[in-house]
Amino acid sequence: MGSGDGAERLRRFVDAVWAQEPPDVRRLRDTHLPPAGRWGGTLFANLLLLWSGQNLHTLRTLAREGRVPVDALSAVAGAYLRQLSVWLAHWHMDDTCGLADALAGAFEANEFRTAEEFGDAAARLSLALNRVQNWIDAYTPWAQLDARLPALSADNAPGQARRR
Amino acid sequence: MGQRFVLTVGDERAVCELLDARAPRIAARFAECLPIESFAIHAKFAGGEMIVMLPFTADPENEILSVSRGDIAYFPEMQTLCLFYGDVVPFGKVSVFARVVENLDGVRRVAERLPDVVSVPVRAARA
Repeated sequence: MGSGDGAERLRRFVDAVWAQEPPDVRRLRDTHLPPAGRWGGTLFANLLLLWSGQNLHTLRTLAREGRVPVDALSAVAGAYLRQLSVWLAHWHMDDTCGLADALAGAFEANEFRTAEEFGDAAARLSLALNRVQNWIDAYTPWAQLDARLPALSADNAPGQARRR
Repeated sequence: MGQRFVLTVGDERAVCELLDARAPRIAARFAECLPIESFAIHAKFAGGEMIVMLPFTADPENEILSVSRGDIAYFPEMQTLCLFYGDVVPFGKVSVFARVVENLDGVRRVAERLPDVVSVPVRAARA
């Protein structure tokens, strides 16, 4: 990784979130925003982190293939991370927002100049964000949601009443 | 015979073998990181699969879609170990790098409780 500060920040972040549930995830679990309450935020944060990891993986692949210039990929990565931070701030995930903003700044400043440096940064950041997402999964009873929360029938879909 | 490691999932201990010849990079990276402390959750869409996040990134190797019971794979996009303990609905290609050789039934018993308990501690260590 090209940026010493960025690499060190990522290393410290992963160390901090690896072994214990991070404070961000505790705050997410405890945040109820009306009317969707806890689970709306939990599912949104989970999927936002999932897609951030996925998008970073895609950008890393493009960098390695050499099809898109690294500075263009850096601009996209920075924009993604700024957007992620705005969303996660709704649930007070301050540490993850801080990491996303710091790395967004590094990408926007083109601190990762080569495809290798960019790919390394994207991979490490993907690991960090995926671990936070992994902790959210660890308190989400996915398999029970389907049994306990039946979807509304198709008769309730918008427009159905007019067609009847 | 490949290098062996012990995977402790909840209260069950399984012996596993690295596929050093078929997935040398991922097997070596995994071995370097031992011991690994993490936790298991259940896969959401692939049937009898348990997943454990690993603390390293690696590129795909020995990618397979139709895995077998007892196979252990790495999924690069999520940095996860995928242990297939039962009937699997193939959901995407994974990099198979190890295999359970002893006590898959014990792991299966713990994994089948995961939909209810959601997560259990996992430790991977040298045999």
